[in-house]
Amino acid sequence: MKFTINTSTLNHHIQHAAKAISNRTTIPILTGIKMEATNVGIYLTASDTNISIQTHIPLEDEEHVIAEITATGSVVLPAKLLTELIRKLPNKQVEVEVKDNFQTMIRSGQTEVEINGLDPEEYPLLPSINENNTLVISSDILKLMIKETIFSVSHDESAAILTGVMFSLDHGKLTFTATDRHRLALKEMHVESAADITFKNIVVSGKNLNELYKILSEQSEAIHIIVSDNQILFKINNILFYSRILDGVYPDTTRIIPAQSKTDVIVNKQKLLQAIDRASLLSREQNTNIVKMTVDENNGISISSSSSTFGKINEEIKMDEFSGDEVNISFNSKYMLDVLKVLDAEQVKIKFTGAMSPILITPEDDNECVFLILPYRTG
Amino acid sequence: MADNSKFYPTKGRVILHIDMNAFYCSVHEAEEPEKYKGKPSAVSGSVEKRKGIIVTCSYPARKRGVKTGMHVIEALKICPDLMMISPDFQIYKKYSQQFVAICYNYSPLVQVMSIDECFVDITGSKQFGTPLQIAETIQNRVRDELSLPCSIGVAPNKLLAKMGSDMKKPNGITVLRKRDVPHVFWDKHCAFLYGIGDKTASKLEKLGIHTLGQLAHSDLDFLTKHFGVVGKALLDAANGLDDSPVVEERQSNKSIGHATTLPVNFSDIGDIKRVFLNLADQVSRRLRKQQLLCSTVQITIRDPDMKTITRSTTLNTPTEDRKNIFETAMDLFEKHWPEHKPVRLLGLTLQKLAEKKSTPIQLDLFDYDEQDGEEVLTETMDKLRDKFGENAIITAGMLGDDPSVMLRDKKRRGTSLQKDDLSIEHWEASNRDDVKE
Repeated sequence: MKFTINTSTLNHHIQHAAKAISNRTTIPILTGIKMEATNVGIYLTASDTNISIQTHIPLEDEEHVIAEITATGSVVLPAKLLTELIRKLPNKQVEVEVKDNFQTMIRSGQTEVEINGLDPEEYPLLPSINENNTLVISSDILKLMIKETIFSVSHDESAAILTGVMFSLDHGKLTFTATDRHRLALKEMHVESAADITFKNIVVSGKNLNELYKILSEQSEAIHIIVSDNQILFKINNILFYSRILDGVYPDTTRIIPAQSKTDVIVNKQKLLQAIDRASLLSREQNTNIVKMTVDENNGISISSSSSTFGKINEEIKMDEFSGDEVNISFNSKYMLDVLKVLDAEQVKIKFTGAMSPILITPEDDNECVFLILPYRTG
Repeated sequence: MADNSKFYPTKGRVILHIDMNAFYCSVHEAEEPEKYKGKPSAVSGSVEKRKGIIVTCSYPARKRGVKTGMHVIEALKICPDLMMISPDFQIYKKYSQQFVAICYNYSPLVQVMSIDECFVDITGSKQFGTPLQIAETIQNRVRDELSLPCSIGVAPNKLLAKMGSDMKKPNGITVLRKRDVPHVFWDKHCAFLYGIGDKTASKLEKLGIHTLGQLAHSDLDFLTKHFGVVGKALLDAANGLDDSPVVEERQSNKSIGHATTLPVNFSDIGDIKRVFLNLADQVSRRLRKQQLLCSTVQITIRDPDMKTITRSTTLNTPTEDRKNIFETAMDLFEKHWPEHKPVRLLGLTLQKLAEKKSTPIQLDLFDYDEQDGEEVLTETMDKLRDKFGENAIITAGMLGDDPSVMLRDKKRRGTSLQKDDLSIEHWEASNRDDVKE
């Protein structure tokens, strides 16, 4: 194998692929990135068996020649060294050449590096996925759906299924659900798909989605999502992003979302966020982040918290709408702040269903996303 | 009134450490003198049921060579007329409270260390006499009113007071001053000093420090290098210095625990479950009685070779729920005793306790509406049992014929020891260090 390539393009792609490299892998070959030069371009593959990423560098784009292949072939190079090295090369061009026993020469300007490569035959194959079940979604929407749900996944490995976001697709409606038992985030979007494709209980680890999120562009690029038995594939322009699907059955959350409420409030999101943010400064005792909220028709929303060490805080916010009973509730301010930070609306609707049952938060005129927070029971 | 001031230091404190001698045996002797007075006796588990261990023994028994921690069989070999007594924690508790009450007559600063010992700070107690007079008065009153022997250490700090009470037993009063430290302690092995355990002593040994005198003259930097902050404490202790205050311990318990020795070695998971269910039932009930919640659950497992392990886990949310505590204990057991090798003793301790009314509980999305129902059930069960006794209502899983079932029976529950009645109760001596908190 021998080729020359634009250094910054190679660097860009290696950074993407390296997101699948784990420091804790037990399989030696997976500490490397597989590099394959073909007549249609260069492929970089990295995997930790949980995530696999393959990026494709075409030989040319509309304007420029990116790479020139002198001899096709492949090699596996140590990922950590490769990512560092390519970033630090002096010249715009780099030449990669594999010699006997996978000894690989990397030349750039006056720099010449000889790396001990590994046999690409030992590198595992990418998961094979039947491409029948494909749906198409715009990358900015996928990004939004991840952002609005991922913060609610559990970090408790003892309930592994809750460490993921649950995907379901029914009648062209894609739903992401995440919960850590104390809060829940749900986001729905209409997507293009063959009408007969449905799936449910597809749970993708929050960590993997976080890596995917970093790769997704803000532009509205078409992303193809393909689901198989135990893998989900995201096709992003030149990148294939495979993720393992978590084993297990995701709990049924459909009945958890309350249909009726006792109190409904509409309030300015920014004002509420700032008030709770301030109150949370005094709520850090014993990691409870506990903030108290009382709501009544005359006084509006009052937010308070206290700390035996530092003192107490109390502030009031005017509501735009109120109906129902008075409210007196305590909750984890972090959970509320997480919701308000991702919620994309000027006004939020908060529904209370009781002092010891869920608080429901939605954008004022939007039923596509729902957030639930379970309050604290206080003595 | 005589001027006792000159018997008190102008700066510094006067601390008493009162240690009840052979407490459990002495209590039985006080209750039934005609039966036990002057005779070799020992407290162990229910004698006929188990190959128990001597928890404590009377002075006549000690003279015959019976020691705490011995197997009952062994003890009976060297002392065939040894009278075996089943423990009765209700009585111990009653006597303990009475002797602490006597101490409170001479100072409000009483720190109860366990069921049979306490510290009293009498720095401000001049009106009751000289320190020695107060010690004598307390000792006499404990003897006359409760018929119990005790040893008292009189010293300028807790460390020396504790060492002092240990020097003359039974019925001793020992005054230890700082100036006594060199000739009393410095030729002794490091482990002689209260607070220096075997591990620390052997580490000191490796560093070439064999006696307390050597320790007292060690370089602080050297000790800090090897022991961290403990280094300073070790150096101070060897010099008889200790500035820890006598803290009035009427605050809530640090832990609630229960352990039971099994009649035979258990390895069947069904038996293990029943024992933990009964333990969880009783500890959680006591937790609720005190209006507390726990965040940490710890189990104790002892194998037939007396090797003891404790393993604990911290819960995501504090609990008072029997089921939750039971399940956590079983998870710990399965995780740390996966092969179900035989066990000799099982214990369950609840830690990180907090007052229920000031502890917020994060509700759970999947069972917040069940929690109410569960609680009503528990509350109702508790009420029934408060009124009609512990056996008034139990769950089927608790039924059985091993000692864990007897946990509910306060008089007969044997050497399954309860640790919350007085801040810490002694466990079997072999296990003492494990339970000191």
